[in-house]
Amino acid sequence: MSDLNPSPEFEEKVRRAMDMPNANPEFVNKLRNELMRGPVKMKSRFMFKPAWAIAFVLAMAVIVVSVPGIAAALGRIFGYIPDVGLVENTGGLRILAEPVSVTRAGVTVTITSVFVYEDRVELAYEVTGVKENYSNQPDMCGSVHPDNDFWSDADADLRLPDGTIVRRDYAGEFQFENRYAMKPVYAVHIPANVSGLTMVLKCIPFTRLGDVPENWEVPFELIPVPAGTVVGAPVIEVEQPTETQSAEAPTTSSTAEMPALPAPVVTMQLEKIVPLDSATVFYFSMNAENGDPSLVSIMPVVAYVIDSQGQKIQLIGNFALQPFEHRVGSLFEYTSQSKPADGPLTVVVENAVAYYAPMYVEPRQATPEEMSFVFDAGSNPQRGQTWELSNEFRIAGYPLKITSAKAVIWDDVKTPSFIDGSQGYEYGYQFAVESDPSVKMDAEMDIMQDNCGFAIKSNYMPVSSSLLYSQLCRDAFPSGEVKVTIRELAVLMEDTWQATWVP
Amino acid sequence: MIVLDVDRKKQTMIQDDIPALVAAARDDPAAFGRLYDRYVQPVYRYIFSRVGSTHEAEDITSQTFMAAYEALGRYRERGQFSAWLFRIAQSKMNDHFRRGRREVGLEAAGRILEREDALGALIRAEELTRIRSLIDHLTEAEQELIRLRYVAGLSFAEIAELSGRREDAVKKSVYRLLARLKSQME
Repeated sequence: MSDLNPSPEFEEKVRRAMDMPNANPEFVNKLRNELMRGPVKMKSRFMFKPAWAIAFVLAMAVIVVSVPGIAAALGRIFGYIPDVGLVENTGGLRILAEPVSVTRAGVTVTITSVFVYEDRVELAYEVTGVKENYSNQPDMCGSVHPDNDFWSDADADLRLPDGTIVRRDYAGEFQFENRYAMKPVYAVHIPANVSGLTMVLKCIPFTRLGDVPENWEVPFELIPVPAGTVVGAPVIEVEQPTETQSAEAPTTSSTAEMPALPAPVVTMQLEKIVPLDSATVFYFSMNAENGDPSLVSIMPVVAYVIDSQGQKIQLIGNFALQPFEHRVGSLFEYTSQSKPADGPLTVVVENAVAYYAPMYVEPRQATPEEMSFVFDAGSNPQRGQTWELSNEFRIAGYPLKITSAKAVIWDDVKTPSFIDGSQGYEYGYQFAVESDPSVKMDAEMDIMQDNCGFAIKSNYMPVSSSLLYSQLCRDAFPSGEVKVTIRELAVLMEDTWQATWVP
Repeated sequence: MIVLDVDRKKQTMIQDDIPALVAAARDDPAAFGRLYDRYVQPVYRYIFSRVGSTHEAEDITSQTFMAAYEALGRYRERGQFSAWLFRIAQSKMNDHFRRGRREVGLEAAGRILEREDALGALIRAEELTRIRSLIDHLTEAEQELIRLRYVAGLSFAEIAELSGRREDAVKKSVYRLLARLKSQME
């Protein structure tokens, strides 16, 4: 992979070559004002389902293997399929009896997998033999879109034996899952006595109408999953207690004004292991035994596995770094960069970041007023003017102190990496934020005015107990009483957690 | 919050705000305004790169944000908001093209822009023109990857979610494309 890495210079050239103009500020402001007037009811109309980049080949291999010994330990999870993830066994699961194909004029449509749950059918198919991916043109067959309630001819329907047509679900329970043209999800209960279904497809997604055969019908058969059968790679539920070690939990140092509070005692729990041919997938959670109610997530910084040969193998997270999507206790999925040796495996996490958002948790732990401060910038603030502040907050026990505000302009705070310039955000304030010297933190703040929004920070990871946080606004320096709200605090937890699994 | 930093890590961290903003935006137009501020320019530039017309780009940008505003209640905080928003933009553009408007090449769209700055001066104009021309000859799917990455400024994770692929696969595809472009430049 490294030999493919482009040089930053060439990437910059491509970026410059692709440079496009920004929207006219007048248009931007006008549209903003229209939106702020309230919800806009769009008139329903037929919309072409969008198009791009859902690969033709959704090569989802469904492997049916029989491993009774392991299957007995599977519990609720049924298997792991690359590019799909964990397949749940919630009872009564039926699957495709065998992949089935229909070929016409050199084009083959193959149903590669079907999972029939109590409340839904998940189907995947692939198409081969189409010479050209053709998109975004008026005579394109179409694709899918999760954000409207319309269907295109490219949508695969499901026909039941009684002739009932089931369309994929865009607006209901499985709206989010219905994002891929060739992976439809149908919100339907298939009675147990129905074992034969037909996929009906008017035209093939991304193709030019008339180029390839249309009006496809692909019948397929379902089979119940036999006892002891594993669909996909076997998942090992780690039921034995995994040893979790951690250094002493950090605590804040106490001052006369701010007594020390215990930091959360964080533990790691290794929950599932999926050995694949070339790697191993690990699922583990990060938990807080005494976490503050405003704690949203604890996200690992570095993870690796040590195998029985002493090899240290990096683990790559298969998720986006979105704390709100990884609440405390939820599973993180990591895949090893190479296959560990057989034998005991020790998963190690070095450092983690705890995210606290008192205003955005349920129940809410702080009101906007409690997380805000106000300073008087006067009627005519000037660049470089500084206000000494002493606004103290405690978020989950961590002290946070705003010590100053300084009037800055874009030129004072810009960095070379902001290649798009200020985009009209020229005036603002830089706040000096401090915490306990033992705490490495990062904070998110907002000047509570609609024309403010461009934030630049000295730290984008919690690496220091101090932070310079700038927010820029349009038009002019906010004047008079300026209200600032602290939205989120991230704290680096410098510690090591490890859990060992013995086969 | 608007952050246009191209640094991947910085972008990722800033994305952490978005779910909270989305949650707030369901009841608070001002919060939606902040989402709008964050995304209006990337969305506009992305659309412009395909339609090449200020008027049409403004029209589709308006449709995109109005539809997003209307549909926000149905958005689930399980994916990246940016991917959801750009899917709406793609939908609106497809609707636009379906009505008979032709997509313009990147070369044509880019030619409209004449921005000069210190960095731009360092890179010879003809070199940029050559790169643009090479990109214009990529397949539609390849051009779209380049647009999403270098015009819209999306992260690999965001593109992965938008396109239904794995992040590492998207990254490899982009890097392979760049390697190919670079070799063609030599």
